Amino acid sequence: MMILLILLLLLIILMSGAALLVVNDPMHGAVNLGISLLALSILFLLLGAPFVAALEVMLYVGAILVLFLFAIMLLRSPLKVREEARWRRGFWWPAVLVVLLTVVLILLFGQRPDLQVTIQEIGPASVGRALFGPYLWLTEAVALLLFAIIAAVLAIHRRDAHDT
Amino acid sequence: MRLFLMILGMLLTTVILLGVAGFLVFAERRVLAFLQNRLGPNRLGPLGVGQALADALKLMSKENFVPDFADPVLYRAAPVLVAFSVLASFAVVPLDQHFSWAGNWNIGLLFILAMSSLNAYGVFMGGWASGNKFSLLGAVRAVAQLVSYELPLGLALLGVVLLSGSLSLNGIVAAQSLPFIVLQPLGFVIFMIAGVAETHRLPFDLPEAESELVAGFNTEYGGMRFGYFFLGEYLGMTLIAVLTALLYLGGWHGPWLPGWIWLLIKTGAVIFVFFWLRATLPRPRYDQLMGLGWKVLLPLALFNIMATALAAALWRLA
Amino acid sequence: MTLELTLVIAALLFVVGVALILLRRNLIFLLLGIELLFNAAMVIALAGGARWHSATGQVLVVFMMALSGAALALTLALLLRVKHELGGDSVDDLRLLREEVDE
Repeated sequence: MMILLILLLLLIILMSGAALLVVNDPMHGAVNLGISLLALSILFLLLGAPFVAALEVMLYVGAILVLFLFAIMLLRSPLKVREEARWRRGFWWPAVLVVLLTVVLILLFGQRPDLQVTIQEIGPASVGRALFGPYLWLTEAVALLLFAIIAAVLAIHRRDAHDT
Repeated sequence: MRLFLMILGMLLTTVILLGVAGFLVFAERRVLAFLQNRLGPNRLGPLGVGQALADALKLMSKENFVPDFADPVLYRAAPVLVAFSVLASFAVVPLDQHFSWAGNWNIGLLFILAMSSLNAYGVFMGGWASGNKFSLLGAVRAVAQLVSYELPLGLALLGVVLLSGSLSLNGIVAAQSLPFIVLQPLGFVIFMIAGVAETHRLPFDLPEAESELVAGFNTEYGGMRFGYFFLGEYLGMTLIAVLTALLYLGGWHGPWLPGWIWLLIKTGAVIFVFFWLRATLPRPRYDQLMGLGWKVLLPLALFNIMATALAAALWRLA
Repeated sequence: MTLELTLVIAALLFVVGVALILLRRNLIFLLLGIELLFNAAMVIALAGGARWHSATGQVLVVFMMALSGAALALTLALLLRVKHELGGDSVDDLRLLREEVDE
């Protein structure tokens, strides 16, 4: 049952990833990324991490992807898409490398005997205790970094007098 | 067999929720009429209850078309996503201590927040895929509003979580020997305002403001697809009302009557407040709305969390 | 079997992300590819956490989410600036940024 579910998730992620490689419209790309993120959040639930699964939907689909949507909308007018030249010179070598990488990674990860463990659920309470216990200073550092990012984004968007 | 019963139960839950949404549409028209000193729909059935059924039949019998300038796949997917995300949220809402699908789930509140962000996504996709500038403007407004108000909403909920020490709705209600509205008055007010904005109902219905944007993100929708958006809105209102009852008003705690009746009474009272707001308040300007969210509600919500944490720490010391 | 398949999913995500970065010319798709790379790393971290029954994997993922969000906000701001200054959103438009070298 569990295996079937994971295989289904693998299929969804594979298909939405393949769709990402071929679609022209950035909005369709964002939607495909959203689909694979939702599939990933189900995978996180199966891995016994409900807190992270909820965060994946809240932060990734709810915030990061929305940032993408705003950027896409500010970048171009709706439903008018420029064709991207695809089968051009400089396409084939990267494509071959990507296929090789796939084979190597799957061979590397596919058969590992030391992975036979039963998965226990680790709830939000213990994650919170870890975040604000041993990792407290790291959490504070991330908070500081986010604050710095706000300043940086504002600085990038500032229009100077000679800009106009 | 067990699987079959579960599917049957889910189907039944969905149908009941759809019925609730239909009834709320009717109830809103009657309550608005009462507040404005007129009659409202009163012909079909006792008190006019049949109006809900008639409206649903009318929506279902209308033609389901896709405009040729729309993005066909996303145009079809968006209303379903909106309705689904709200319906799925009800899975973690308990009616009673023992009566719920996943009331004990240890990320219940987070699940509701996650589904509400999916809802924003559906609204945006609907507005964008319509390929109409009014829809697009409505969608942009909707997403900006939902993202800005989700922050104070989540922060207000954190106060409740701090007090109860649980993210599951059952656990939160069980922790309320005293309703949290007494301990968290500020959090309650923030939650209500942000909740009204989350469901984009009047006075915060700028994404679909008729007088400026035709109908906002659902301008191009008709028939049952429009019905899905409508359903999403009314079920979203029910969800916020149930959450208010569960988180702040003591849930199923109450004397004499059985618990689920108390919950329904409290939910109904909150829904009535929503109708009342619609009949009373004018719509703000968009910059006023954003200013309220970021400059008033967010600092207040942060202050609420800090005050709650401090009080809880002092309580533990004493 | 669960963890092996999880690692395979992570590998696939990583490969798709790399492929997006190598093969597409649109900057938006490049950024989508970077998000996929982050997600592949997150899956690996969670698989590690599940393997050794530890909350550290989830803590790592929370930090990664915050960092990728921060990086993305900055990059999208830069992207809008690029569109505004250079008038395009493809990698090829960024060639205009290189310094003119006198022969």
